[in-house]
Amino acid sequence: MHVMLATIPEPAADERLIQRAAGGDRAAFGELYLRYARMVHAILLARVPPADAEDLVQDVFMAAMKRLGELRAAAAFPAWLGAIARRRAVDHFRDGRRRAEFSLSTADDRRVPGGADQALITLDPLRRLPEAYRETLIMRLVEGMTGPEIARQTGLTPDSVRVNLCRGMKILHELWKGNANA
Amino acid sequence: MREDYLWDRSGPPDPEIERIEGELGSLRYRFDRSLPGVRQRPVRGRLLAAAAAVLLAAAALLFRGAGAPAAPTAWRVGNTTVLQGQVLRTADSRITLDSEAVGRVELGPGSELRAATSRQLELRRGRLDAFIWAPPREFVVETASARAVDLGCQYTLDVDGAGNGLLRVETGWVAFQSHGHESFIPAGAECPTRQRQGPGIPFYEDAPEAFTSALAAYETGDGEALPRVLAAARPRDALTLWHLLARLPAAARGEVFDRFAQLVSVPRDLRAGAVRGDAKTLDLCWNALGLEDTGWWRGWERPWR
Repeated sequence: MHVMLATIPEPAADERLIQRAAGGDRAAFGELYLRYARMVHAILLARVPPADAEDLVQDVFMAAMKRLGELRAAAAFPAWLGAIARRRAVDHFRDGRRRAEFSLSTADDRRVPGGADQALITLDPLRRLPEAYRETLIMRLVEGMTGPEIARQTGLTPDSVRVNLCRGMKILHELWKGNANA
Repeated sequence: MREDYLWDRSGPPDPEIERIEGELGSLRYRFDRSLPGVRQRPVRGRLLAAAAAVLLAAAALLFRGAGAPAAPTAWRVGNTTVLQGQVLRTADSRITLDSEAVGRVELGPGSELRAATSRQLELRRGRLDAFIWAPPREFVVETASARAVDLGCQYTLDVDGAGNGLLRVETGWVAFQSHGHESFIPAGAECPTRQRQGPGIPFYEDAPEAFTSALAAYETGDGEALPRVLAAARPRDALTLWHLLARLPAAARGEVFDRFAQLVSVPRDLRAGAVRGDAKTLDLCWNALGLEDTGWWRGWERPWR
């Protein structure tokens, strides 16, 4: 049984939403947030501590809202939003008030009570994958997105997403084997 | 590895992928976890859908109508439209109110909220997390001691039954107003409100303990705490000093301005105007804070004018 409140983006509908949002329609922007928050969160989670990733999602959307008028082609929105998220993650570590680096032993994850340690342990090798595999696998394994959803939201081709998922999983296996043998 | 399952969860589940999904599930974006049944594994999907149904039923039972049927608001809890004047009470779980035109509000456990209109909610007790995309100044949350006016995006408001509370801003801005007092709270700052006093003086969450404790003492009647507030202030805490400048009697403003001018770059010749409480001077002092995105400020009715 599926109760679908989060809708799967349709390219045409996205384009209309982006145009409305660029014109100052906050409801349209809110809908874009509903659609793309998981992708943004996955990109951030690939780079910053989990407790910070959630906060930064809002920063990314605020930055996007301010700059949406600069976007010339609505079709570029997913990639553009992803770029803002990656940039925000970089800035996060330049901000001296934030924690300097992700650490399993000191991660302060206030929103993952119960099972938090195991989640962070499982996440750690994922975060050591090459960027393309890392982001795609986090979207799939953490955010629960399917391959077709990931392709639609990131602008990658379905074949690229499939390759990223499969190769990423293979590298993960090698990392786990290495850890087990160490 | 079963690639079909990895790709779109079709075919037989892959035990290893299922295990990883289970271990990582707690890291999923909270927004999604607050929605029922978004592409979960079948068993979990059923459980989440069932839990959501129970939650929505509980929320519906907790509605308390205020007499005759009222006009609908823009807010919905699940598939239920909240009517004007209805009160929502939560027991030990959270509920989410959604409005396409306004935003999203999560009501914490043990809370009571009245929906006055689509743009006005009344938090009687408990916790409210708001993420608002309505235009600035359109959405307000009333408490017993202050009104929170949304000027940006996301904040958390806690109040007790007596009207004492705390507002914390995550992104954007919130104005907290009552009793002729007004506080402007940017992202990363928080502001108390107190019964019969209204909104207090905002301060950044990362302010030194010496600063916040002295400020709390000063606000609750210890007049001798003001020098300690000023001494412990960092440049970033000039936000707090600006509010003191706008709020304190003239006799105390000179001392506050002197410290303010040490922390941010303002011409010293503004001192006389600041002591007089001159509106233009207060504007210049505000501008010296260098806070980002103050476009909303230009349209705001500044009470000291």
